[in-house]
Amino acid sequence: MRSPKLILLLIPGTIFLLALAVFIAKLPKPTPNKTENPEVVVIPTNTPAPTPIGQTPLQAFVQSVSDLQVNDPQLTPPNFDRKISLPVAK
Amino acid sequence: MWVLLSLVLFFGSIGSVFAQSVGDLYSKSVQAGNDYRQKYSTYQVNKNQNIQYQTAATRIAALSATKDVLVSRNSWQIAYLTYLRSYLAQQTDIANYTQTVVYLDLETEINTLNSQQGTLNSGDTETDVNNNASAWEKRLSTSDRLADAAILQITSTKLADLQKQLQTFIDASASQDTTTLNLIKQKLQNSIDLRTAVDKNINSYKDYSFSRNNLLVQLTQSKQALFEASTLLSQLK
Repeated sequence: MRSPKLILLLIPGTIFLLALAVFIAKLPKPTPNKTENPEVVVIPTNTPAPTPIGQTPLQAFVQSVSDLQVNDPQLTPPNFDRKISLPVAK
Repeated sequence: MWVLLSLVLFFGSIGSVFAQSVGDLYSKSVQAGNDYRQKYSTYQVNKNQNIQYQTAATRIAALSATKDVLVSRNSWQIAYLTYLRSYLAQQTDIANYTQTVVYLDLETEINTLNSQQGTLNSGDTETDVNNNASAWEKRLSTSDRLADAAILQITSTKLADLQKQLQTFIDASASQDTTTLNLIKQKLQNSIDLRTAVDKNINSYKDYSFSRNNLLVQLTQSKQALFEASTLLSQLK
């Protein structure tokens, strides 16, 4: 009776490991969801410049250096109120 | 029973892995910011109403709205630092000592902020709520410095990757123009020196001498030197 139980655990386990490997290989770059709400603040995303056809690897590399943002807007810290308080009741 | 257990484990594991993706965490951070703005707006309305009318009902509403916004602000900071930690892990090498220190410090900070959720949601008087808010705000400078260190680390790692790539292009160059090649190598070395100087300072983020802006200037100069070197190489005959 142990073999069927073992298989029942091994099959999902194998599928999971395969899915994990695929997931790690395709790990996405940060891409925030757009929203229709006009009040919602969406931090601008880093969209790599398109590589023109016929561009050499070195030219593409120069472009990627140019595109590098030292002050990446996607890493901007939260801009909340840093002093929240209530007037004390007398 | 076994089938059910296997399926729960399987889908649970998949879910937890996908929940940790950097893109998801970024979205959560943006969502936490939106939630904060809503709570902050309610807090301002209730606070002003209480100042104007000073009834028991407006006082309770103001206290409640303030606690809500304090919890929401904390949640936003947690979501942001969690996103930053994930981005740092994705971008950099886990074996890198500096990166590991910043990563672990981020983890500690996130845990500390998580443990404060209950406190921020408590307090029956204005004084209690203000004290809780004030204690949280006093810790912000530490949190800010840690976030700065993580951001610098991420940018520095991106630069390091590009510097390695340029070295590969230089090694593969068949140009006979040694004068220009030497100039390119000199600019690349300058770029590397500036970036490694920043790396050495990242771990001292707790010191008062730590200056995010100065280090950002150095990284900008490093990028500029790298850009000049790569442009020169691309124009080399």
